Amino acid sequence: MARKIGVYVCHCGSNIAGKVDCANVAEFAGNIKDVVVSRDYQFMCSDPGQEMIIRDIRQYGLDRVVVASCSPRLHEKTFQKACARAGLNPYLMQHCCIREHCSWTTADPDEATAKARHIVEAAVERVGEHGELFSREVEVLPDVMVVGAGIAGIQAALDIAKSGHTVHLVEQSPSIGGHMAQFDKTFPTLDCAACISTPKMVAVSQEPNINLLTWSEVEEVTGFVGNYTVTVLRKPRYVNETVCTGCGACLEKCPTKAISEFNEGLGKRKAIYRNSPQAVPNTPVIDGTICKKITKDKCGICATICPTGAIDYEMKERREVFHVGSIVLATGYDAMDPTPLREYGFGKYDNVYTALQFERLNNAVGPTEGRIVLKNGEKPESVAIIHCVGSRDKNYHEYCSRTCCMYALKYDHLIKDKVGHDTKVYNFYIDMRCFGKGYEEFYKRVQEEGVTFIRGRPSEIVQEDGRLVVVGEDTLLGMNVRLPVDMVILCTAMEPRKDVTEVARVFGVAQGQDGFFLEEHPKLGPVSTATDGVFLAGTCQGPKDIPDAVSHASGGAAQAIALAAKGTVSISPTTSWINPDVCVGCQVCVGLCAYSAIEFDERRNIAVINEAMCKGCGSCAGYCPSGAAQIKHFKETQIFNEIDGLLGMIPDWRPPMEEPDAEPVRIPVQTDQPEKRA
Amino acid sequence: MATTAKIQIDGSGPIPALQGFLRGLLENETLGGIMVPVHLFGKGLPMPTLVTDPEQLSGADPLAPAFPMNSAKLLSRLTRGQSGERIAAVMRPCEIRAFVELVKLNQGSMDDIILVGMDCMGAFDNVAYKQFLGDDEPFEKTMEFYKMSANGGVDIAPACKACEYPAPANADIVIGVAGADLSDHIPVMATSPRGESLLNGLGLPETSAAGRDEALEAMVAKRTATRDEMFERTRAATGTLSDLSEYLSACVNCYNCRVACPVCYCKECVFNTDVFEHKPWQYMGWAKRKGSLKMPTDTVFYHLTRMAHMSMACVGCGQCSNACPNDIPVMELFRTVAARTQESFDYVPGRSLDEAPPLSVFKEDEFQETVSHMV
Repeated sequence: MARKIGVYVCHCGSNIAGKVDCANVAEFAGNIKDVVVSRDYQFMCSDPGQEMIIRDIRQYGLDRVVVASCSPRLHEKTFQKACARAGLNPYLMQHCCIREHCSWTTADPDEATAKARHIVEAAVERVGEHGELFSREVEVLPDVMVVGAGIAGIQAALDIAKSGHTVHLVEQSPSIGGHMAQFDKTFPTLDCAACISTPKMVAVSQEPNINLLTWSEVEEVTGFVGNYTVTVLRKPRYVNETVCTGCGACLEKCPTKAISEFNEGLGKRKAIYRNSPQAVPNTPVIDGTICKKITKDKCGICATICPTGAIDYEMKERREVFHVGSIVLATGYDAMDPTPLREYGFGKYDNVYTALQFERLNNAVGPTEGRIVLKNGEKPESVAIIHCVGSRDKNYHEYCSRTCCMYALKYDHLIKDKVGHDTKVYNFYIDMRCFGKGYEEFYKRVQEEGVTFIRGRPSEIVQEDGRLVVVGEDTLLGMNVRLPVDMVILCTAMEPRKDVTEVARVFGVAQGQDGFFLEEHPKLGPVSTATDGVFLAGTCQGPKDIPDAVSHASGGAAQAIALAAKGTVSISPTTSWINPDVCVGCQVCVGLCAYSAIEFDERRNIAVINEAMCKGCGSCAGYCPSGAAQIKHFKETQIFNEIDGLLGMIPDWRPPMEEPDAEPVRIPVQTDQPEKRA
Repeated sequence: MATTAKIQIDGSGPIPALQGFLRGLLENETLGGIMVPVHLFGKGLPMPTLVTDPEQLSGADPLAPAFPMNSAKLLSRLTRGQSGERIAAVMRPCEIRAFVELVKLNQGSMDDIILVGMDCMGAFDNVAYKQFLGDDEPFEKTMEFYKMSANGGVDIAPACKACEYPAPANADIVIGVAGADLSDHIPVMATSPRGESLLNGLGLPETSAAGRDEALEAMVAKRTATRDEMFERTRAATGTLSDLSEYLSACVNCYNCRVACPVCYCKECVFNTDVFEHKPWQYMGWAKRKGSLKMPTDTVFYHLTRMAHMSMACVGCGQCSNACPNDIPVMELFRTVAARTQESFDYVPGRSLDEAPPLSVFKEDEFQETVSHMV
């Protein structure tokens, strides 16, 4: 059966026409079998361009369309929609690329034109094998899950809750707030971190649309966009949240102590503890691994003290299942442990601190109640701050952690402010990156406070006569530096969470080369992921400061709300399909599917695609030797025809049978220049 | 698991002795049947036959130097889904290896099967076996073959000459013909727990397989050398696309090699689908491009596709060559290619049920020398 194919060759201004003779390509295409109309035009994506296609579909009764222009990543949807407006199934259009794949990458105009002809011929041969495909609408469950309740997760949860949708906010720690709750001041405005974050934390606990699940972890995610089923592990808190008033009496008497994670190892906490007096929720948690009552059935003093009888040593872990339409990942970052950089002596010398430890020293509820002091309790007379520890370093992380320059400036200021203006502060930096709003101004301000900046990464820190000595080079002066100081602060890199790979697996998201979760597009899709309905918020996608994390989180929330508000989602039909009559049931595809979209039907002994989960990646079709598994829209006949076209297998020959008896079909090739696009 | 028993050979010779052994197995109440090559019609090829009546084992000839087909596919039919009864299958090493591959691909099951592996002296292809048999009595000819092969003077099939796996792996019971003195007894080894319990139930006297290892070693050495020569020869003959096309020029798209291949497991081959049902104008287009088009088309493509699909699982049984009506040395080509693909993945088909077929698993760091430029 003969097709009626229309071919549209785009100039893309001079992007394509600068190299490719578009009129020639259109004329050539007009001679390919089944092509009834072929045109070139300056901007196919413009309204007049699209109208031209729509008009031709109606006038010539086109049943297939080929557009040769830019990458399908840019305008495939545009032309699919144009076809749909003309009543043609959008999948009967083939969009081929003669810009990125041809004009931009080919130097010689004749070669570029020849190549464009091949590409167009391939598309024409392919499109004949296209079939109608129909998207499917599935319902989106209204609830949303946010994983991680640092500042990004909190922001996302609050935004979503405000829209009226229920949010299940899962946090693995006993209380929310994340790293921000550990900070003291925030750059560049020097707001107190607690003063600006606690209102948000309290808002979370009081928001009726937020179901807060602290001390909990997501164990399993199944389903697909709009219909995720999430199993959450609720770890035993051993304190009944509904009865506890948060009075804190239990914290006083507990005899068992452990290193405080929240204070970055600088202080101790009890076996029953909470991170800070402002913790949300303020219900303490019992560390079941060290509590004497739980481990040895001794003590039990907290239960006798508790005025409300909230202590429950028999509490067991349990699992809760949630059904949500989408998931926002806000799992945050880890600060790098600088121990492997042995040259900096962390863990060896008392007064070498990490940045987070220094934050705790500054914090009014930290181990020193906000006093910046050395281990011996004395004030430091001089402090060295070393930037880029583990960042911009091929041995650790090649990327810039984006926050260190600014918080180092904050430390400069805080040391001058709290310890005294006579305290000497030295910054060892590579480049100062102060790119945010108000950041450059803050840099200027700190410079004027009498802080020293030395350009160069120190080679080592040694201890001489009881004092720390920073050894390095001032690369601006070109001279070696040996600087005795009392205290050293290491601005450690922000890195992916230790369990990032496992978390990525659970949620079915990919990791970038840096280890952070991979966004869908580095510029135009920074919050969505390749898995529909799973969005990113904050530093789990890459290092961010607070303003960036909060904006990113609001972006993730907006995506989740958009899905929930629409209530349905359209599932692309370009999925795999396994022919039940051909499938031999070897199950290899089941194991190859990265999206767990293939199930094995034991009764019929065949593999079956779950179309809602299938991404159409083609792993199954690539393996399946019998071709039982094929991607709709990428069927073997389509690919083979495309290859035939690329190899120029089909010359300008048409079967004599199909030649019209009377006048030959006139190929209307439009070569006049249309008016320029606005 | 080191039980070695002996099948005593009395005056009537090794074949009746083996038949007696199989009869003993079949009389065991746990076994419902035995698949074994049987001379059903006196003359012609002994065919794999599922025997349930011990009396009908009188035609069984597990030693026959005939290999009409690889029985792995037959065993796959007998074990896919629930048969309800346990059976034994007497097989050559390459048949067991192919069956192991099929089990990995969910095309069969080891659950209710006792694999009786034979040390393999090789076999004739179908045409040569008929010539060898002539008008003589098959059992006598089988014994003649063993006498001749002991002297090294038999022209077995090229696949068998180049086969470096004469001893069965992954069997439950092994009949150790290699190096055995066929005038006295044949050693039989239990090589799995269930093989052992079955063998113990027969109450055979114990023995040792003296001389077997040496005999196998000598065979492997000779055959490996033959194989390597074959690789050299085939590589030289198929090194370019035009050479390869010439090598395969007699192919008539009968697909017999595919049907005979024990590991080609598709229900419907892609070459039988509309993908290769070209339109008349396509043929004309191709012809015009080069001025001529060999009809049948897609012959080289067909063999390349089969290599892409199956070379990882190729056990080198040679049935493809046996089945070719135009004597294309398909086995030589497949084995030569398979040697390289299998080596790349350190994969030996049939070696272990625990080794997943390489193309069915992802490994993150693989072929770094090939992909490192992409990082």
